[in-house]
Amino acid sequence: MSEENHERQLDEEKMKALKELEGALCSLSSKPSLPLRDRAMVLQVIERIKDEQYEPVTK
Amino acid sequence: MQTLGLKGNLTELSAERVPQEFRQLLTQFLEKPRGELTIAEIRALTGEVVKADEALKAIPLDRHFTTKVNDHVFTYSLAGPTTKTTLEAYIRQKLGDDAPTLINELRFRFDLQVIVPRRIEATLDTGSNDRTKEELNRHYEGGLAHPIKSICIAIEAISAAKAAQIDLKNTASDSGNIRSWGEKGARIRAEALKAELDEGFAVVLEKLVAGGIFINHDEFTELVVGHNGVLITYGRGPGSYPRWSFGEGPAPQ
Repeated sequence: MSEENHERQLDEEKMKALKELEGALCSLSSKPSLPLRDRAMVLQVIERIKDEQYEPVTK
Repeated sequence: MQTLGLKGNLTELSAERVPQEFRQLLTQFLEKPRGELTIAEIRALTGEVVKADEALKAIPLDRHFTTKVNDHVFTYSLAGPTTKTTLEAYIRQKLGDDAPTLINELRFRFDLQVIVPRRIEATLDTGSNDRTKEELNRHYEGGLAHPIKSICIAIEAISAAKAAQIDLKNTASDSGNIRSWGEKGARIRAEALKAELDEGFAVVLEKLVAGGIFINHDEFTELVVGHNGVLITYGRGPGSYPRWSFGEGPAPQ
């Protein structure tokens, strides 16, 4: 596998992992019993994930 | 002085169920420079998020809570479906076509924040929507949501008073309304204050204002707290009542 292909594969794997994390965080953020300070942080992480997805993940 | 407040109880109940690893990983995640997260880190956090999600499923939403502050017993419950439904109906009535969007956006906050006193014995009601305790009890017994306009003004006044370092307990009034709280123009029925406000109640108000229960100051929230029958209510939103900000007040915790 060429280096370029390898990097692309890593990118795809990371995007998939981020999507899974985003889904889990969205589920968690909808729980009314989530403490407020945790909710604030969860929402920040969701924003960060969205941000991360616009950036190439491997250099 | 005991300062165990309403928000403290609700938060502690669920906080203890969230794994500490989850918080640590969230923090680490946010501290990482953009683009430098590894797949292993992402997956580790996903695992902890799933654990936290599972842990929080076990918390019953309709259970009642009791706590004691300065010898006063507070009994309250998270809102059940009837309260949520009637609150939604009230919003629909007030906002018409705009209501569904607002309701959908804020539904989870109703679950979190709408708290209903078991029985109202006296009121600290405010503004133009003054109601007697009998009226309020009929309101609740009839399954209706409390009018939000007066709710809004109550906490606005409390917040403004706090910011201005006014001692609520010693507040006097010559006209039934207190009008001296700065730009907010907040008003509170002084007779009700003098008659009903005691130290325990003041502690709770402080906790509410300082404790981060106003998690989103730009959108609608509603809160009703019973204290030995004393009612304090709070609400805000894009309706006809004044919009206001806690920008100069304490930040959410």
